[in-house]
Amino acid sequence: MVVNAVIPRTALIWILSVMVLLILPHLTRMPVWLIVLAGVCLTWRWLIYIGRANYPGRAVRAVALFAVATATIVQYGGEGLSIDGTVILLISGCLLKLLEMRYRRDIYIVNTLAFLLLMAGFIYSQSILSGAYNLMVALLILASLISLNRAPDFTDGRIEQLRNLRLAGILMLQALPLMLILFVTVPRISPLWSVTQPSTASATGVSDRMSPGEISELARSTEIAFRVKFTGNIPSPQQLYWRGLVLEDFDGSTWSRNYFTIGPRQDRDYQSDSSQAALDYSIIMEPTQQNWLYAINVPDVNQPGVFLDNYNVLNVSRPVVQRFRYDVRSYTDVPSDLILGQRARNRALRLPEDGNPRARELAQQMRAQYSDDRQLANAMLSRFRTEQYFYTLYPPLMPDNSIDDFLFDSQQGFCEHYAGALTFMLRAAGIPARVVVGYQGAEHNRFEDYLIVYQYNAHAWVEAWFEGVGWQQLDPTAWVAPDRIEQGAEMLMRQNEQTLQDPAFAMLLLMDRPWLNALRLRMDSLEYSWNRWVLSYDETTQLAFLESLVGASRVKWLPAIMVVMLVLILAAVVAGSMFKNRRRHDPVVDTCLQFMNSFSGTKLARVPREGAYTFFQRLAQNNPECRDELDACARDINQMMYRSSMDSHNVLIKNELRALSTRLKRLSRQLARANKQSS
Amino acid sequence: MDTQYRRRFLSLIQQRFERWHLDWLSRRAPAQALVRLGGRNIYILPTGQGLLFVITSVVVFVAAINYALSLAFALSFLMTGVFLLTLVHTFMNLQGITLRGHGAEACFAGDSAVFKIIVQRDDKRIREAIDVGVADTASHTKTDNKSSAKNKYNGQIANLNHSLTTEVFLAVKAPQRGLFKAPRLMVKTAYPLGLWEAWSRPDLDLQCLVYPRPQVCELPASSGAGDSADNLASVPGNEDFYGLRNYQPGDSKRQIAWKTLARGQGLKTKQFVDPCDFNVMLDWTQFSGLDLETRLSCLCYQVLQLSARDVDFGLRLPGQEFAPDRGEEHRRKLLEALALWS
Repeated sequence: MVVNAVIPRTALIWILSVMVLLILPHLTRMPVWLIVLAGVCLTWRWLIYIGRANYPGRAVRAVALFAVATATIVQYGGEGLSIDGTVILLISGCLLKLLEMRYRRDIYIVNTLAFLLLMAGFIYSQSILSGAYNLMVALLILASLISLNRAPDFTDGRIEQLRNLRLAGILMLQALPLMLILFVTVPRISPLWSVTQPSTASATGVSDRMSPGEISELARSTEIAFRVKFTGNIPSPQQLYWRGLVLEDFDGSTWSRNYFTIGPRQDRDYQSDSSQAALDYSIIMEPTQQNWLYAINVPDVNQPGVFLDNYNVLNVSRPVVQRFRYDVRSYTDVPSDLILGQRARNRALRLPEDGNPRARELAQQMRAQYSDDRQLANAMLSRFRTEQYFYTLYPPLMPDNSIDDFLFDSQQGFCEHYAGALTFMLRAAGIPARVVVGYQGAEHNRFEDYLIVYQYNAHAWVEAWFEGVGWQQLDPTAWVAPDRIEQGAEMLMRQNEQTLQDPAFAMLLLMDRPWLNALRLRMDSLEYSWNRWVLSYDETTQLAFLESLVGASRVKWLPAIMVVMLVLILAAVVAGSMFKNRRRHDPVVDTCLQFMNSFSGTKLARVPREGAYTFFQRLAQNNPECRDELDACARDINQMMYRSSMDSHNVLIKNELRALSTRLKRLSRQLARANKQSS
Repeated sequence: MDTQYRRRFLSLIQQRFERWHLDWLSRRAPAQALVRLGGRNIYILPTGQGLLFVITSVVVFVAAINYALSLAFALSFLMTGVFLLTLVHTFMNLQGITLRGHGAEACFAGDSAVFKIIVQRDDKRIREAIDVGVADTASHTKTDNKSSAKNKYNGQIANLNHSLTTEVFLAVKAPQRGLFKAPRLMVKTAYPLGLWEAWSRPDLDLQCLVYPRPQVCELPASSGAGDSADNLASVPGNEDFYGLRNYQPGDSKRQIAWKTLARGQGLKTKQFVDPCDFNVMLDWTQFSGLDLETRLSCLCYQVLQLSARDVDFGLRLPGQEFAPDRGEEHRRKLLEALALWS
């Protein structure tokens, strides 16, 4: 390829469409000036293409480059080289290159930019859809390269353009097995250096503060929090308490996390032996931008970067910015913290100096009634059932003394109100207590047998510490609205007219139609498999999968196996190519031979090494009445055999061949009849 | 100055390498009239674009590690796969092709000899964008300024899409008279993606006769059979019909060819010449005082002139003599003698 040659026009079309498709997914992230630049550059390029404009001069290009660089630095420079800024730079580089893309050597740069942009797209989305889209764009890049490398006089016409695409497709199909082998076997390593993450995402899910109304706000979202796959049977809904954070500090209205006690736990409550009841499951969490994970109590994780803190909550050293997979073993019957240290006890009893006097008074009264801590706690819980309390997503606002207002006036609340009030009363009665936020319940997807936990499963409950038992889970919601726990959050919402009118819950209405619901679950199971097998294929998963594939002892031979497989695939491609190498049968010769062989056994049979021409001559001598037709056939055969175009796929040639074949058959019959008569 | 020396040094090394390479090739792939390209004579290396492609795939791989992006891993591996596969595809684009060379028509020194190369496939696989050319050594050995670097390679694209054979015509500059042997061919392709370049250097034994470059000169007096130079050739006159030429203003009306005009072939003027059937004898000694090549060039010019005038003429070279005769065959014989004389 001569690098100084001008890019053929047909190849340009491909390259331009690739450019547009590359930029399209980033459109929502592009600042306004870049969208304007894109419009100008593409229009200008189009005008150049149709011959209405010329390439911009050196001065214009220099000014454009300077302006773009300045704009990018002004907009993104403050954060260092953020990934957003880099993507914007890549896109503007592509756009400016459009205007000076003239020679084949420019394609080098464009090609590199194109693949880097494809990669950048994956930083923002790795869904099935974006994977398929980017695969299609990669296919078009290959097609554009092919059209660039073909001789110009053979790239015109729609069929030839389609051939580029077909060849690119073949190349892609052949490359896919290679890709698969490399994907499975090339060792995954942890990040080499820390990178900045895209800034667009904001924290989602349960937060580290809980004031009244916060969880009920979250409970209106139908987004997915995480998906869980159990190794054994799926436990009952009553067991599905996904602990997130423990909130200990209370300032009179808001419960929040105590940040002085963060750190890995030094001692453990349990011994890792198989005798204890345990649940094994793996969770794929949607990005939360937060540092904690969700698990059933008491979790144990053996994964680098994940640790258990003093509250038996799983923490990660870096925020979860992408889908994150972790495998957990939870010991359900293990008591936690049988001995409570003095500092921990003080933290779990601390209340504000004043505020909510009626609640304090009630707690004192009940304390006087019951001397046993557990009896007292049970009495407080049963009070929620015996008195007129309502469980609702839309409670009235309670500005000050919120606990008093809730307990004695409105008596309507969501789980956070009940959890907050119960913890307050327990503390006021001298029982160490704390609020736990997380999720409760899940939806079962029967297609892949896993659980989906939605944001509307968000929940808050209470843990109280009892002598000899340790921290124990108390859920006031289970006393107020047992359906919420047993049948799930969505059942509760379906009973409420107000939620059904909320557009976010359109999904709930879908569930009424079984086939729509099945479709929804199927789509989700597809996405789950994608997450599980493709996106979360990391060091741990890879090792486990490879060990299950070839056996633990043979994993070290994998590099050799990989190389052998790659070579085998390449050899298969060569062999496939060589297979086509066989000399082709000329259909004209075949037809002619068929005719000549039809006389074998008769006196007109073909003499060894007799050519078609002499054979036809001999026939004509013996049968003068057929001479004209024989001569005509011989001439046609000659013509068809020696014409330059031998493409037997051509429809015209096929028709001619068929016509020749019928003529020869008729001749053969005629001659046979004549010979029978004469003999 | 420094850069100039360096450039000269580099070009020297390049020439040395080229010579060594050609020697090696002539041992490995001696000249043959028909060459089939295969594993023995196809070489393949990644192009600059191919290397950039690999670097890009490594960058994507590193980014995939740092951002823990499974799909970016997949993209990087897909690129690796495509890169490896195009090695095969590019190689197979040359594999199995046969090249046959046809000798060129004789030409004059300094002109281009045009060789016909037949590129053929005998299988079903389509071949495309095969660049058939020669590295033009004549301009290569000169100073390596830009223009010669551009002319260094002159190739033609051969496509075997729908046809099994195709012809490529290669013009190679023939600097000297004699039997010109074309340099080795350079058959290369980067199809389909331009990431690899496969090439082969077959020597198709392409030869061509190169006549001396004609040099305009007067015919010395002593060439005729004793008469003056004026009578040597036919001179314009009015005896014999000689031919037609386009009408020019001023031509006599009597000489206009009315019949051809009536046939619609345009306005022509009849030309007449006076006969002169002397036996002209060209001689080596007639151009004494000139150097050897110039003498041959002058003789060549005279041979061309005389055969165009359709007169009998002969040629005498030291050790060779051709009796006066006329006609195409005679002309060819004389020119060949001039080309090969030493």
